Amino acid sequence: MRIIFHMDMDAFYAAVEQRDNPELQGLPVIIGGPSKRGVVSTASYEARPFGVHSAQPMAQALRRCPEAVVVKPRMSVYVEVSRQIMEVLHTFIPVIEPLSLDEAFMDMTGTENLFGPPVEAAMAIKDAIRAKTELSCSIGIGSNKFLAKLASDLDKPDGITLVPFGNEREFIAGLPIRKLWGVGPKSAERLENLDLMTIGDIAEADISWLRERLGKSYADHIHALANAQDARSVNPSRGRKSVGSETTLFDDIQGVEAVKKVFREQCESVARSLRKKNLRASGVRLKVRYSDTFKLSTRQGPLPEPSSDSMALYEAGCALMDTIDLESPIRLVGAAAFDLNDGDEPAQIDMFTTQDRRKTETLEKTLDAIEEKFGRKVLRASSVRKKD
Amino acid sequence: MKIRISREDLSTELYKLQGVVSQRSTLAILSNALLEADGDTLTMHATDLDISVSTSCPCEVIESGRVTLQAKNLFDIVKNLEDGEIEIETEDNHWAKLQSGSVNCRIVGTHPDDFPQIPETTGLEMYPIATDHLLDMIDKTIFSISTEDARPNLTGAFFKLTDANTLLMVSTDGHRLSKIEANPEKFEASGSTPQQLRDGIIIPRKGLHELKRVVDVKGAELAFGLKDNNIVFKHGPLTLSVRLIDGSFPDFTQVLPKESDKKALVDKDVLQQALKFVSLFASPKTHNVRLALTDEGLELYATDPDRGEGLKVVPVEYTGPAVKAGYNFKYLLDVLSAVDGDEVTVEIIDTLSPTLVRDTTRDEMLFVVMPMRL
Repeated sequence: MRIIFHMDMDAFYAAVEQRDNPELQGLPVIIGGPSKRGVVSTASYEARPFGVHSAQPMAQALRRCPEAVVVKPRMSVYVEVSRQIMEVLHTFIPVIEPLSLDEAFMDMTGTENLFGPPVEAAMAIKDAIRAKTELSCSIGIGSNKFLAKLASDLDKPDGITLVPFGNEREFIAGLPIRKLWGVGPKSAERLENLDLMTIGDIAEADISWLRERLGKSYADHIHALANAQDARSVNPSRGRKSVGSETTLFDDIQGVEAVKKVFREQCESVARSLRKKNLRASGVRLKVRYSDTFKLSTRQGPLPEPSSDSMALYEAGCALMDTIDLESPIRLVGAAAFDLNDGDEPAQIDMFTTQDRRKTETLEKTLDAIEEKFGRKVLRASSVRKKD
Repeated sequence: MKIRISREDLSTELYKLQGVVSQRSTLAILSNALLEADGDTLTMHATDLDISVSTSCPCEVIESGRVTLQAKNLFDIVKNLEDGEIEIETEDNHWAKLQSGSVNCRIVGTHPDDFPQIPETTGLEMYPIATDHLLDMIDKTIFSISTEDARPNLTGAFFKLTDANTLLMVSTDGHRLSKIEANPEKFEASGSTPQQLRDGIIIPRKGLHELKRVVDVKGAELAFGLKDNNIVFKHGPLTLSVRLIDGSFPDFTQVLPKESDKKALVDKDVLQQALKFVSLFASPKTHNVRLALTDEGLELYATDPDRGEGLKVVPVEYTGPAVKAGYNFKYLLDVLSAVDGDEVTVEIIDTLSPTLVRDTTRDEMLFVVMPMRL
């Protein structure tokens, strides 16, 4: 039997803001863009009783809770805190699959001799996270990923829930179908119309009857989950799908050349992160946000060969630029690398990429080492160096 | 329009349109075929705007005219009829009434004027070419055409009349390259050969694929011509126009490895089987298999943390220095299946350089596979 933990930080962004700004403690805090057109990314527990929840339009949230304090998200801070949290988790176990900044699966199978029974281990993890970050989390424990994730949500905030081993089906049978992974409001409605109200109803439903009504793959999926079956393993490499960097600019920019200049810097930073993590990317994404409409536009394309070299990212990114509007005022430019492979994995060589190009990767690695020793921005490619 | 036509003839010709008609196009009309009856012939057209097919067969025209019908539907209906005569007659609302034996049906149609213009190819200067020779050139190259839209100029085969008046076909996706230079029967270059062909054109993969699908090796003569930015193939009643890919093909001569002394001679079937065996241990993500060449033999090796490791040594004739490199085994298998002879030569220069594979019986073609960085 496996023992899977699901760690979920409590109202993560809001909790970080309340920690860093003590005057926000005890107040309803909403993290989200200040504009009325924005959406709620996190609501503190003080705001939730008013009916404020994440992904809600900001205007609606403020109608429900007019006294809420709206705080602009500070992503870089959350990323840093998240890194600390994942580091804490790694001190317990190497097999961690981060789902987002504030959630992760851990495969704790066979750790009883090290950390004691699962609930004790969960308490130790919570204490360690609190000691490092002053933040609380909830942990769900189950014999598979689905049960662990479902459990972490049952006693929030600051809780530990264990789905009893051997009695999983009974434990979840009474819960509403919305707790099933993959059942959103739309499919919930569909299931309720079939008189399937609880997880138990689905578990007991005849599988061929379900397949007829829901289609084979979806029926099989929720039927397995409802019977507490989920064979997916905790996959540490699934964690990271892309590495990105973006800047909101002080002044709007316009035109290909201006975008290229910022994009070049982003590629430098992305490539540096790739090398630091010993990854190579096979795809690059260009991202711009327009000032007038606030709309985000992205283009992505493959690299000729997997690389962690900024020029390779940059050139593949520039090739995408003629398919995107760069003449409207732009307030944000971002670059991201995706399709990531381990740097030690065999990588297909491209016929038309010259040996010189491959040398820039080596060169950049050397520059990394120099920067590591003497600090950032001692050396940069001449096209990136800013004029004094 | 009103015609009487043999079910078999109609079915045979409708089949030729099916590869081009699209089920999912945003332009609904492109899933249709245009049928034109005139004289004693029924002509059928289909297009996806990049590739157009026209074909015809004899029929009894009672009343000439045109109709546009959903091509796949029509083909399915005709396929499922019993052999015999079919009568098709258009109705006022552009629908068609179809009667055959005890079957009576009415098929939804649209206004024929909505159908896109089909390139006019009558009077075009055509160059005959032996069907089997052209198809062979396509077979040797089509598998290494890129499927990646990011490099549009690689998504077709490069086709060119060389200074030596031979025909060259080259394809590459950046990871491997196939090249064949042939002197096909029936083809003769002349002073009037268009400059466009001397410069080289890029024929998209789908066009070559369609040609393979609809051409009958034992059937009528094949000829090709160039019109505007299209290559036009004619084969009996069939005309296939394929819009060429804009852009220039990369200078592949730069990456072709020079002949070296590191040539290893291997039995093709033995190598193919060894690759298939060792690939059972290759990573499903990278498909990497390592080849190590010594005068003792060619050692194939693959490993994957979830599968273990596998090794097989096959005999070779080789006198060069020991050398090894890793490859995507699928690329090597693709090449071996394109080879006609019983033996191949493999030239591994070093871990990073292009590797040359040749069929010992056919000097006019060569294959290049890029290694993987290990």
